[in-house]
Amino acid sequence: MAKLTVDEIQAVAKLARIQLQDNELASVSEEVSSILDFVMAINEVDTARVVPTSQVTGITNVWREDEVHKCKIAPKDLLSEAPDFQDGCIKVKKVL
Amino acid sequence: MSKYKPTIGIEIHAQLTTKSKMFCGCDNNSRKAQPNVNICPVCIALPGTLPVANKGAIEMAIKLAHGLNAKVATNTSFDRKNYFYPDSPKGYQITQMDQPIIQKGHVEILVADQFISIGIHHAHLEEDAGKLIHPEGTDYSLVDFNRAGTPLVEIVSEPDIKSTEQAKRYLQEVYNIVTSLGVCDGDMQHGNFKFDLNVSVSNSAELGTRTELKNLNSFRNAERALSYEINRQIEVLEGGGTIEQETRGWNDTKAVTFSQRSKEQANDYRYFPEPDIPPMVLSRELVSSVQSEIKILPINVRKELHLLKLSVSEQDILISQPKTAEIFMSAQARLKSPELVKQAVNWLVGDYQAILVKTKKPVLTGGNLAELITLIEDGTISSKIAKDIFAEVVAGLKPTDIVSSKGLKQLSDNSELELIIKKIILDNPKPAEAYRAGNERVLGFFVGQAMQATNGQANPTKVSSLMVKLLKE
Repeated sequence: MAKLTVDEIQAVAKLARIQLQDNELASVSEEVSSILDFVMAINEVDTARVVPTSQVTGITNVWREDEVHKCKIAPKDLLSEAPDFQDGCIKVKKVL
Repeated sequence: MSKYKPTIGIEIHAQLTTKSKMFCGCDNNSRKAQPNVNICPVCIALPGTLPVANKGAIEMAIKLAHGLNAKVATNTSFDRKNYFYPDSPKGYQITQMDQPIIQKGHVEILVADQFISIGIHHAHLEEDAGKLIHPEGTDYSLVDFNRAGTPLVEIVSEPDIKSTEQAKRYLQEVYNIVTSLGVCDGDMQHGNFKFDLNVSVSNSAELGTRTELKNLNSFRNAERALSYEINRQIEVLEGGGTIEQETRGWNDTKAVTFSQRSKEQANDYRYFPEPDIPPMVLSRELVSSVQSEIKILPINVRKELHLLKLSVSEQDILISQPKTAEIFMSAQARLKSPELVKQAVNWLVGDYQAILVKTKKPVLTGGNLAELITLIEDGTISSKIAKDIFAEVVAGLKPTDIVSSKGLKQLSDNSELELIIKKIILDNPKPAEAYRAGNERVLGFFVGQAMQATNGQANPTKVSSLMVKLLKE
């Protein structure tokens, strides 16, 4: 049985930039723990002799020549979803 | 002397000089661009886009492997390093963790007249993040994605570096390697070549706790930050304290390091294999064809110059100019003695530098430089004539052709010279009298007259000895 502590849930939430209210912590840790339990069923498979696999297509060496291809979409259209701008830059809450 | 000994490991980030970015066709040169113009759906991470690796960047890494005396990995692949920060449009960086393209290697550095070897743990390819600007006194930051996706190599040393001096030499030598291979512009002010320094001190065989000094971009600051940090750690330990594993920054104005992030706050990057980019298999043929383009490496030049007993700073002048270093290596292979090779160095760090400032496309070859030096050596031309025609040699003309077409062959024929000298003595009775009366300084005047009369074609040593002989008659 996986049991994630409230501290662990808080750490994960911080890394994922998810804000949790104090009254949610207990229920979320219950829920995430049970999801983890469900996924952990896969641990029952014996993988001792299986090579770790991250690609299944067998394709290798997909690369392109070093050539500049200017994007046909205008920068302002590319960035139209950004909430705010200043001096051509995207404006965000202060970091650092 | 302190009983504490420092141990230093260095991570260097060098921006590659590819035309396009690491995973898309956007222009990689934004030096003069407005913010956010060299961007596309891939490098600003719009949904559904697919990164495709730049073959040029892979080839540069293959070249660099040779410079680092390292093997290129046959199997290499990319991984994702996850973190949230406004400079990372995807929320992760594509980098290499499991199978870096450059494996173990080493870099030789010259410290206190000894060559020592600093191990390279590995080096890998990755993409740079966007640029963040923090306008002072405001509550916001500004993001420019022009740099997002610029190819980088990260070169990770072993913790083999034992002093501040060694660290500085190591940084300079890696800088020489990447710039001479042409894989990095090395414009340090613009952040082309940056480094993180890991340092610990210990008074026993066991390593101490290390701190990491992040994001330095000058050799001088690396030296200052390291000295400060080593002393700080020693003071903490001597005072009975313990070193905390943490990331520290360098404040240039105050000349101190300061705590930025402790180990507890360290990110968990949740690395995993990049699913969007198939792995790469680099054939021997590819590696050897790319590496066969490399002409010389800085270490070869340094070893030659060291044999000539030139100082490190003199060596650095040649090494910092890869093309000049190439001319030197080709000239020295043609010259017979160390004395003549030293003359080649003198030409290259002297007259040649003066001409370089004025000439856009110098075409001096090692062969022509060696020929010029040989012409002086065998007495065909005087060193003054050599200086006069040097600009033409730099412009690509063959020294022997210039000498024969202009009739610059040195006058060494005694009878011809004697006639000229006798006439000069007759024309200048008073100085001749003074010389005979014991004023030897007038000899310089007579030699000068003879050189003038022969348009500099006379051999000055010969003129001088004949002059003395004839004045005394």
